[in-house]
This record gives sequence, C-alpha cells and structure tokens, in this order.
Amino acid sequence: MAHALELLYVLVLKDLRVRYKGSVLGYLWALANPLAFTAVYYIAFKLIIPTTTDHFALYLVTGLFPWLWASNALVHSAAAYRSNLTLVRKVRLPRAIVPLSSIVQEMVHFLFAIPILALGVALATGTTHASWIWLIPSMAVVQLAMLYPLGLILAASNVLVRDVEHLVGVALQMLFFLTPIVYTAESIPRAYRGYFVLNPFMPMIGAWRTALYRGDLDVAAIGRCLLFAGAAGLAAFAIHRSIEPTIGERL
Amino acid sequence: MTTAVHCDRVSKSYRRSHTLGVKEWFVARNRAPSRFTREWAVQDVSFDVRAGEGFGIIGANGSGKSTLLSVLLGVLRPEAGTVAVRGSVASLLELGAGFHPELTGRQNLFLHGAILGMRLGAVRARFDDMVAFSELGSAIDQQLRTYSSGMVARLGFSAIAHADADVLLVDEVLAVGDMGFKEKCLRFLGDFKERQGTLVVVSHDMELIQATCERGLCLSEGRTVASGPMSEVVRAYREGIDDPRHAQVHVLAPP
Repeated sequence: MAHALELLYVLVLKDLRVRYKGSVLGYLWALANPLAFTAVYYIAFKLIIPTTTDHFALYLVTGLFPWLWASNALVHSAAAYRSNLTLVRKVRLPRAIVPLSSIVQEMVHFLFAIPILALGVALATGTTHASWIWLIPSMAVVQLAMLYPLGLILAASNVLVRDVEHLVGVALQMLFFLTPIVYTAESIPRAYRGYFVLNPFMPMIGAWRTALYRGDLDVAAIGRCLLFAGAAGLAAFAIHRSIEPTIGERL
Repeated sequence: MTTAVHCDRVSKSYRRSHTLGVKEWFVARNRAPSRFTREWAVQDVSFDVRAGEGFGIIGANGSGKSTLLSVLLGVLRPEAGTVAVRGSVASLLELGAGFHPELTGRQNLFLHGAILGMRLGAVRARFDDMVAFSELGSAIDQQLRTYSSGMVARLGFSAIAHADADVLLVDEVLAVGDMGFKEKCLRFLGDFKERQGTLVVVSHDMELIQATCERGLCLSEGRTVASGPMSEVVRAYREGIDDPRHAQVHVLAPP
C-alpha cells in the first residue's frame, strides 16, 4: 500500500513535470484555463444573455473549477492506457494506478487553484469560513471517489474500442450544459427536473458551492455523490477485473 | 535446487483481427499474410530455471522470444499452460521502458525504481551506487532525450542491477552498450547468479548469451526447436540457419 502511494506520487510528478516542461507560465496554467472559461461564460451570460444570478462571476468560478477537474480528468484517464503504452506493456505494475495518476494530476491542478477560489469568495461575499479547512479536502475526496471508478471504466473500455476516447469529449461537452454550472438548479423547468436528478455531477457541483459559499456540508447532495461513487466503484471493479489481464495484448 | 522460473506448456496467440473499425473495413481487406502475422506467437514451450542459473532464449526475429519474456513477466497472459516465477522480478524488456524522455536521468531513476517495486527511500540510499555503476556522472541531471541509446541502456541496467530482485528478465539491451560497460554487466550478472539470482536473457549476441547462460532454448515460429546446454542450443541455431530446409529467407530461383 505504501509502495502503491509512492508509485502514484512519482507517476503524478512525472506527468506534472512533463506537462510544464519548457512553458513559461508553468503551473499558472492551472489557473489560466478555468479563468479563461469563466471570462467567456461571463461575457456570454452576463452581457449577452442577461442572467439574474448574484455574484455571477463567482458563481461561475465555483462551478467551473471542480467541473474542469472532472472533465480534464475523465478525458485524460480514458486515454491513460494508450498514452502510457510502455508502462502497460513493458513493465509490471498495478495497472489501475495509471488512470488514477491522470485523475490525481488534475486534482493537484485544482488544489493549486483553491486559494484563488477562496479569495474570490472572501472578496465577493465579505466572509470566510473556518470550516473550509476540513470541508474542501473532504469535497476533493468525494469528487475523487466519483471520478476514479469512471476513469477506470473509460480507460478499460477504450482498450476495447478506441471510440471511447472521442466519445468522452463529446459526452462531457453535452454534460457540461446539462449540469447547473452556468445556470442555477432553480432555473431548470420543473417538468425536466426529474431527468436532471440522474446527473451525478449536479449534486457534486451543488455541494461544492454550498461548501465554498456557506462553509456548510450539503449532506443530501454528498450522499447522492457517494451513492454514485459506490455504484460506479462496483461496476469499475468488475469491468477492470475482466479486461485488465488482456490489456497488454489488446493495445 | 529450487526452481525459480517454471514455464509449463505455455502457448500464446495474437488474434489476427483485433482492430475492427470503419476505416479497417475499407482499407485492410485482402492484406497479404507475412511471417509476422502468424497466429501462434509461442506454442507449447516448457522449461525450468533453477535459482542461481542463467537461461538464454534465442531464435530469429519474430520467433516469439520477446512474447515469451512478456508472458514470464506477466504483462501478457498465456492462453494455455502455466507460468510461475518465485521471488521478486526486475525486467528490462525494452530500451527506455518505464523512462520518460523529458525527465532527467535522476528523476527517471526514481520513477523507474518505483516501477520496479523499490521504495523511494531505497532508491535514495542506493542512488550514488546506481550513478557510479552507470558511469553517467554529471549527465545524470540531463534530460533523457539528450542521451545516446548506450547511455539509456546504462541507466536502465543500473536500475535493475540495484533493485534487489530475485529474478532478472532482460531482452536484448546490452547490444547498445560499449565493450567496457558490457564487461561490467557480465561481471555483475556473474555475481548476481552467485548470490542465487536467476537470469532469463533474450539475445542475438551469441557470445553474450553463452557467457551468461548455462542452459537455454531456441525458438522458431513459436516452437522450441532446441533446448539444453547453451552452447549446444547455439550450435543447433547456427546449423538451422545454414540448413536450407530451416532457412527463413527464401531466395528466388532464376527464371
């Protein structure tokens, strides 16, 4: 177990180092990317299609940062086995750690941006919350627990059919607009709310906002997140176990 | 004598058409078969390697040597037969496997050490020995992409040499090292076997394989065509090449 954690550590470190080798801004890209999205959606929904949401920029940021972690992590983990071919075919290691390192790498990015998020909330609402100290790490663990089984399923199925890699990008784009990130959950017409409940990312984003805005634990939302994580975890366990032994020859 | 590597009637095939897709359906029909697309990569291969022994696998390109080694490592699953390896395994299946070109030699040693199953503390403790063994000196802090293939081989071999493994699986990686380094590796492998370490080597270098291995086998199209003491297996392989009935390359007769 301790060795697995060390292995995860060196793999994540490798990815982070390789990613920013030769770039001037380096880790600042962890901020630049979500902030650029925030700017675009601010222009679109504040200036062009007027929204009535309070502190709209803040509302965007608190939804976009966790979302981009999720979305980048799923894209990268879907391709994880294929983009780490020698790790899969030429050395022996617990393969499930390969997609996990993609997800944790994106989590590290997200955590880098957390101080900016907290500062934004403090400036816009005039309050800070001592509970952030335990709330933010717990939320990160909840989100990790949701993403890892999904990433494991995507990575394994991408070994069978490569279309998964492309499908993930499309699906995430659709899911982005089906999740209350640029709009509020209350603005979803009542008739459709039943369908939106099926989206596990909706309670995830909601719980993040509750944590960041109010310093509170959204128990109902987190319960749904963990329920999803558990179900996905069982599916991931079964799928990984049946596909993992043949990954070497299928790639 | 304890058996360190046990390989019993192992067979492995690659499925011929595992790329299904719209493009393949249009492009890849009526592709001419070649000897590299045969179905059986390894067929019914059995052998045992005792602890402290060197075992060599030789044969022409595409005869299934590397596939067999991958099965021993466990990255490929045998379709039939069983493989059992006793103790911890360190492998060098490919030049630079488990390394990243953008990282420095130092960073790569930590990465590769962890992949080989070492704790980071152990890598740190043995780091100076590894660098000394590889003779890379200050180049250890250069990016791996600036290394020559010989330097990559030095780094890779140095890593497995210090991984404290019971079994080493090595696929044709000393071929790019210079004579001095090759000598050093041979000395290391000799000591390693004396400490009851077990060695399985795939190589086309007949001198190297006879210097490191007591026994071995020769594969042809996935089947064992000779096995026994290494020198005899090498002789059988050489005779097979000279014998036109076993020749892999057919010369077209003049019209």
